[in-house]
Amino acid sequence: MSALELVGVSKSFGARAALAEVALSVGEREFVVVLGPTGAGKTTLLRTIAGLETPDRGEVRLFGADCTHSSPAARDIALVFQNFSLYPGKTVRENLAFPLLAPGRELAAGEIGERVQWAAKLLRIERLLDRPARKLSGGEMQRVAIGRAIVRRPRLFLMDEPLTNLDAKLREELRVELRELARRLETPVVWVTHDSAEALSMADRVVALFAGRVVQVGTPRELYLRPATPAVARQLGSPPMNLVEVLRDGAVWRLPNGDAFGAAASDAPQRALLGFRPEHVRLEGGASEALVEVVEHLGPQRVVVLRWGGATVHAAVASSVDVAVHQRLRPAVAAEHCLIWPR
Amino acid sequence: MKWLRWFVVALYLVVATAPLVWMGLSSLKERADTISPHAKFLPTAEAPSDPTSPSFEATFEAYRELSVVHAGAQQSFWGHLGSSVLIGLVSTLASVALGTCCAYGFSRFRLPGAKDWLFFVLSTRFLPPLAVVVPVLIMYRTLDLQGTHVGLIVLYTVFNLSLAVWLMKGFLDEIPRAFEEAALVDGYTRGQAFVRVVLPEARTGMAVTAVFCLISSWNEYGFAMTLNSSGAVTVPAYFAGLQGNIEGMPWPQIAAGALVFVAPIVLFTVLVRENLLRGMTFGTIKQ
Repeated sequence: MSALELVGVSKSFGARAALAEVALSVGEREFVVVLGPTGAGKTTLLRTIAGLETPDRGEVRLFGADCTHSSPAARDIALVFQNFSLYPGKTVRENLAFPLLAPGRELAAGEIGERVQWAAKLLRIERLLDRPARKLSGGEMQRVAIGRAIVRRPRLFLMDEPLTNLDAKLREELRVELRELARRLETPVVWVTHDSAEALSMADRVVALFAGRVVQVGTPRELYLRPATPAVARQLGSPPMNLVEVLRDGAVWRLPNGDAFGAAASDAPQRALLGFRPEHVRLEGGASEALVEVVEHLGPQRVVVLRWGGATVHAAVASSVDVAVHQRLRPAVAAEHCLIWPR
Repeated sequence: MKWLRWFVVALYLVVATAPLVWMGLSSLKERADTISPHAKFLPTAEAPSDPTSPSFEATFEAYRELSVVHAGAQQSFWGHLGSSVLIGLVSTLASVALGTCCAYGFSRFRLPGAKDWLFFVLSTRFLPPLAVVVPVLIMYRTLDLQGTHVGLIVLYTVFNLSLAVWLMKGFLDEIPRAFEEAALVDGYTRGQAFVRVVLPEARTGMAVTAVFCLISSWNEYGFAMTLNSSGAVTVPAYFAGLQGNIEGMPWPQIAAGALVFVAPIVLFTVLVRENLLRGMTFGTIKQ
């Protein structure tokens, strides 16, 4: 049985369609990342699952039961908001205890204290327990917000860009920690983000959402290597996949200015968008010349920005490779690494 | 330029406090001193021998006489102050409570024609209140509400409601929706989330709104005078009603009573002044 199943869920705000026929299923211990650009409907999707929005059409099923019209309280789901949403006047302890004090939960005071301690220990915020929430740093606030979610041991976690407002270093740390936490709690997670690193590093499965539609579902590796659309290709990876307009001239792809790019199959379309990852660009052995415009040093690798036949192409090479700005090279990409979208 | 600044402030202070100071001095006088053709502004322990002297004998007699029932009145000052307190507090509580609930609806739900409704709420303030005195008087006579506490409470609540709705909407709009939504997801109902999450966050706003409502109903004179010239007479109407008194206007008692009457408002306003400032500029500060 899947923990969560969405069937043909649509939601519009006025004339604007936020979600269109979204289908999604999340397994009982699965970590699913919904990846999409700003405005793709990711937050609306989470709010619909949580019950804060009612879909116009379609069904929300939780553990086999139709929950489309049940109240948020009845769903037993936890939602972590992008903007933390702690109660500023309450202490961390009170914030953590708040979900446990909800009517109908009826926990003994001792049990509440124990659970708060447990969550605080897990998230390493024990020393903050008596501090007012407004005096926390961003990272601490987000830990508390996640603590509020785990403290009542819900059936499903929903995370709305929980790391977006944090600085880069903290983001990387929490990414690892939270992935581990989800594994330990054995609770399914739907994690929404526009950050490709989060999708690639955390997800069991990635759902690519564009303009309210699910464009592709698969493992991070599948989406990385075989993106279904140019938009998915652009969203994943840093630097993202190169996308180059080409024309077929017999058995050769030609770049916008007519320079040869590489061999084309005889049954390939006349006009196409070629997609290839920066790490698949070699800097020698190509059919035409390119100019090095920028060289970026990123530690273990180097990103080289090339002007090649009227197109801009990123190449990622080992930092041991010698390359200088204004140098002329003959780059090449193996045919098996090129994705072809007919135009 | 610094001295100029001080000069302006000092000048304004004198202008603003002069009436209060004069009232304070009058409350310490005998009636004869209050209507003396010679200005009396120096309180002394002994009566001056020269009647044209600017000094006068200070006495607290007027404060003691606040419990006297004057000719033509039915109650002493304290009785009327009681009416003022009852009417002021109940109508303030009612305005703030109703205004908060109404503003919450406007702030959080998508209502068809919400803007028009809000404008309608505001439009109830367009007419000068005194323009509707006669219709209200006739209505209250029919309903037998003239001279009652309930009559003025209902009237003041209605008058203050539009202010309360608009002020509270400003304050509630500033409270992030995510607060309640987090509570909803955590297992609370909409009503419980409102009481446990929104209201505590809206305390400042409610205090500010309460001050504005209290001041306006506390000081209201026109309707109090017209509708409640007998029965539950509030302090402003009581003082006005002492005119034509056969004993002459009891000025020292009026001065003493007026001081006692403004004291709680001044005190309350000073206590919440920081919040008041925020209330006046609401909507201009976005978090």
